[in-house]
Amino acid sequence: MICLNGMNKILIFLIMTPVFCFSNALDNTFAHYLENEGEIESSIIEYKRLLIDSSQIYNTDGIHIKISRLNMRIGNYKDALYELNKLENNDKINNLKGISYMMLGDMERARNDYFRNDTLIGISYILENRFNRAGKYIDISNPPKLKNPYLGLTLSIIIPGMGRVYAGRTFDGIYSFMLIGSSALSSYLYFRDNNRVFGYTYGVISALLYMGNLYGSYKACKIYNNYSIDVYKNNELIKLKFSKWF
Amino acid sequence: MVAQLIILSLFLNTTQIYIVKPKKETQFREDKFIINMGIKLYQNTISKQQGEVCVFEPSCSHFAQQAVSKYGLKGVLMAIDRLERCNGTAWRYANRYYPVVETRNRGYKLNDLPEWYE
Repeated sequence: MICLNGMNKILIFLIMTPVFCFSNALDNTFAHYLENEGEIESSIIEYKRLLIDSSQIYNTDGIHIKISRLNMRIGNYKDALYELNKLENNDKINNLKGISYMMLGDMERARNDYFRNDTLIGISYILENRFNRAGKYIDISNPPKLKNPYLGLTLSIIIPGMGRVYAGRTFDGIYSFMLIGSSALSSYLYFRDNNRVFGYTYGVISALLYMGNLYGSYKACKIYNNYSIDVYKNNELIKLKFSKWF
Repeated sequence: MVAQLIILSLFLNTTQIYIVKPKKETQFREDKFIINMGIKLYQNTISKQQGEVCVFEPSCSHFAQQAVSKYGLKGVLMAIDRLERCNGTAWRYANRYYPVVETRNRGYKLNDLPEWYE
């Protein structure tokens, strides 16, 4: 048994009093729990409550940063900036501010005023689809080869369905070629048999299908390009661990 | 001058000014009307007999209705393009170009909206 004399008791009392009194103030267990459960908005409210409780006693920069990161995670970049503007600038804060501006679409401001990190500058160029420029700052794999929509259109003018094959939709191309070909052939056969009514009907149908195919080929190339760029961007951002900044 | 102002104020107090807004002219588009009627005729006759054969959600006829009402003549091209894409091989592009959705009555279908082809 430890015997404490009077002076020691007083000393222990003086040391432990603030610990017991204010231990609840920074107990962020519940906020962590909410965050892990995916209740980000409730977690932000809990962190703000902690901020109110502890603002008089502790340095609350960490809580401000946490709130801004959570806001960024749910896409509230303006709220994140509001929290970050309360803090003194340093590299970490500047990066977070830059990311918020970048996600709000103000790439130039993010790059010029905040980013001092090559990875983040490269990411900003990737998000702008300027892959060659991004390659100057970071190592990225070769960007995808895009399809020219006008070439797709031209191919479809020459052979119906060829534009779709060029855009990577082989079966759609074959199907549309068969549709257009069979209706055009029907039209020809009816005209040959002097059945003008059906001849014109199939002629109009094949002409409409042909025009629709031209539009479809052009759009198929554009959709292919958008899809390829999206996949490439996602892969690069995963490789660069972009999510770790949030 | 003062008398004039008093008379004017009396006049303003006693009379109500009605601002008649010109009626908006609702444009009647014959082409859209005819195409929509054709599609409705198809939906109420042939489509009911066929059952659920379209692989997409919305189905081709509903897609055509939406496209024509939103984009006019361009919508016709979109609808024809859709007809050429509506075949069994469309499932090859599921989750790539078309996200798979569960519909209320028609089971799993490929989602494909006119806005994506604008």
